[in-house]
Amino acid sequence: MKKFASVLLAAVLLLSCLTGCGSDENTVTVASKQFTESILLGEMYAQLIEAHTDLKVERKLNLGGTSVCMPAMQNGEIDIYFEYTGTAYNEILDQELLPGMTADEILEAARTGLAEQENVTMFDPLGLNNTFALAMKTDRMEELGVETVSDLAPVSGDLTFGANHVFYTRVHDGYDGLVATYGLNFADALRMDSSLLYEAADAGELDVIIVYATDALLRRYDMTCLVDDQALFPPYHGAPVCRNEVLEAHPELSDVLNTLAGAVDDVTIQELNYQVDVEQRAVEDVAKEFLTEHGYI
Amino acid sequence: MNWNSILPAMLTHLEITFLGVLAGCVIGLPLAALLVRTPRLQRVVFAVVDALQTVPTLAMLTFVMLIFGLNDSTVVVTIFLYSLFPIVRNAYVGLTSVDAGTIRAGRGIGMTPLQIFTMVRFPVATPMILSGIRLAIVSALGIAATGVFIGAGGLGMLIWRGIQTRNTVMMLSGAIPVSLLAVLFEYAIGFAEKKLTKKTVHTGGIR
Repeated sequence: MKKFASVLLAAVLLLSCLTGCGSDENTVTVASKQFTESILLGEMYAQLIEAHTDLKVERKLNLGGTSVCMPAMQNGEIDIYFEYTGTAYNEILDQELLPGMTADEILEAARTGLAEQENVTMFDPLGLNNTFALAMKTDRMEELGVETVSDLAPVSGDLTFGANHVFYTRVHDGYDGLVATYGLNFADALRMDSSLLYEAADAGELDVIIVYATDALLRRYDMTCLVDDQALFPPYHGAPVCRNEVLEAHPELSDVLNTLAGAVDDVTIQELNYQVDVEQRAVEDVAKEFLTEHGYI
Repeated sequence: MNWNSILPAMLTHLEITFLGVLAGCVIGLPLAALLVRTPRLQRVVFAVVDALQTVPTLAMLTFVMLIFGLNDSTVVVTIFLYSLFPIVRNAYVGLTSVDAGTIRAGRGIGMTPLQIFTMVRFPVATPMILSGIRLAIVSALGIAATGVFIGAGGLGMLIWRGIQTRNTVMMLSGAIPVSLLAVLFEYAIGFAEKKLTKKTVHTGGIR
């Protein structure tokens, strides 16, 4: 058995030497989650850092969500990524998002918690609020005469619901919270990757889907968000987060990471997402064009 | 579509797959041989190997990432862990499927246990072992495509960005090479399997 253990160890060491070359002092790693908006904003911060500091940037765009990003950050694998206040408060700090909490309250709580628990700084939000929303084909809404999520309650028995896997696992503002708050009883509730939901809805396979409020595809597929009249979904204002160790080593990053504060609202990001998702433009080009047009680089 | 980005991604994809399955063979094949000799380890080893197989890919990647970081080696280790199931299972079945009479005959002509293993058991088991490796490689090609979620290279980026932005051309530019590689390995190892089977019949001294 000893022999096998040593072979295993040798193999493992060999592999980590092959690929795990250490990053040097003057490199910061910018990450993003696996959707266009996160990738786009990650790319923007990467370009801003490259333009305004002497630091080199390593990009780790398209990681598998907060459950990958935050552990990677704790491990020092990544330094900066774009996070949402609601996600930080609920998923990372494991705090209950209670109805009626304001955006500022959640931002402050997220900031304090991230600083104390993770030694991470959350910068000022950009303005966009990428919260969950229920969306339906616009003509279907008119046909059923629904405008708010509450309007769905009497007709939900005839409707099929679809959401990504993450939505079903969210404790407070996920599927269980949704059906309990609004008294919904869908005929069926399916789970699939976010990118497939729109096409399924467009094909009439799904009636109600979960979308992100800043999603460009709402426009493409002629869908409208239902009003969240019971304020189930908390605010998800986006802001960059950075490890404090990295900020101490490179204080010049603070100004750079504050550059976009208040400058990217829902409409702006929808338009940028649209350019990538629908017009099929390269993320690098869209990011660069936006930053240049507004004089940020 | 850009050939300049597909080819390096394809090579990385191959490298990750190959190293992971190679590690699976280096550990898995001796492990199977050990199980033949010490049957009391069987239950424990198969329980571990079976349990590993049931862990969802992203959960496994996230867990391995905590130790190996956001790079290709995390995917290599993940593939290694998943490849143990087909490799150990198949090798064990192959090694134990030798007719007891054949073993007795080997002993009867004065073969040592080592000779029985290398000249009787192993040649007979080769087709089963190869088909285990083939299974491991084909599933590893798929796992390598998921590596994008922990920041690894390979064809996964093209596939997932293609799906996320509904860019069919981009998606296919990643998916088609993965499928081609799978078919290629399927045939190559199938071919080797046939060749080796023939060879053992002629020279392996089984008859």
